[in-house]
Amino acid sequence: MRYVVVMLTGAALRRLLRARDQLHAEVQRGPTLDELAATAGMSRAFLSRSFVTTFGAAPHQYLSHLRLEHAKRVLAGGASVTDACFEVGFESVGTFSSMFHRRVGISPRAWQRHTRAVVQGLGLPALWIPGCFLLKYVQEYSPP
Amino acid sequence: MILKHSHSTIYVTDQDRAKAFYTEKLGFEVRDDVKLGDFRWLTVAPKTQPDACMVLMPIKAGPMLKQAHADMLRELVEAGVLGGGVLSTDDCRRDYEELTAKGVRFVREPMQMPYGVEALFSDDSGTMFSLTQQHGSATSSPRS
Repeated sequence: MRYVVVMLTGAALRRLLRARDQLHAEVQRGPTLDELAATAGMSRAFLSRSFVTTFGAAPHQYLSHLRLEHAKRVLAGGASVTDACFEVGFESVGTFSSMFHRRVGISPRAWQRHTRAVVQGLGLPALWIPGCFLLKYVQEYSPP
Repeated sequence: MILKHSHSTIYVTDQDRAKAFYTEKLGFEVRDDVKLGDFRWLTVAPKTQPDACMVLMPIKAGPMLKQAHADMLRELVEAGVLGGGVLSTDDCRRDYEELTAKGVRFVREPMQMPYGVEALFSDDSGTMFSLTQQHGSATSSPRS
């Protein structure tokens, strides 16, 4: 008999969320799968499968996504690629850069140049704020 | 092709109070909370939904919202005329008990409907939500 994992509910889902919260809280260090499993009180395999079902990604992929989003904010703030890499918990600039390029489509440096031009040119924070909201409430905003 | 719906707007009469309501009572997490001049970009979402969020928009006049329209909008929100959409749950009756204990105001108790169990509640501003447990929302099940 094999088990089909569907989205967890109730107490099990709450335990899974504790593991997910640990990833958010310790994004730089990057908790191990064993630590996350202990936090959730689940086996590593069940945690991994439940994570995919609930959040659409395995724990290590989810962590990479968090790190990438964090790196974008750090780069938009003007940090060097090396500083951004270590700030978000990567140990190798090469690994960081290639993953960034694979996920975002351009290199960290290119992304930084592009974003800072927009951020500084329009005075916007380096966040995704859809134009329909900005148009409605921010007097100075006009689409590029 | 349109792929997903990522942001929805919930008009609120007080962003601080709304933030507390959505996080402390509903258990959502804050995704963004930044200020851009007088504009505050505040988004929240259930922890289990990484790729979508609710924008808690203040009701105030701006470049595309006249004062008269803002006043009308506030009146509609406070009157409970506007709907915020459907929030899915795995156990409507349990959540009803928990949320009621936290002081959430329910407009209608859980009822068996053709599509599942549904209750209706209002947020702190007056926007109404359906809290729905659809038929077929189940926990892990064995399959041979």
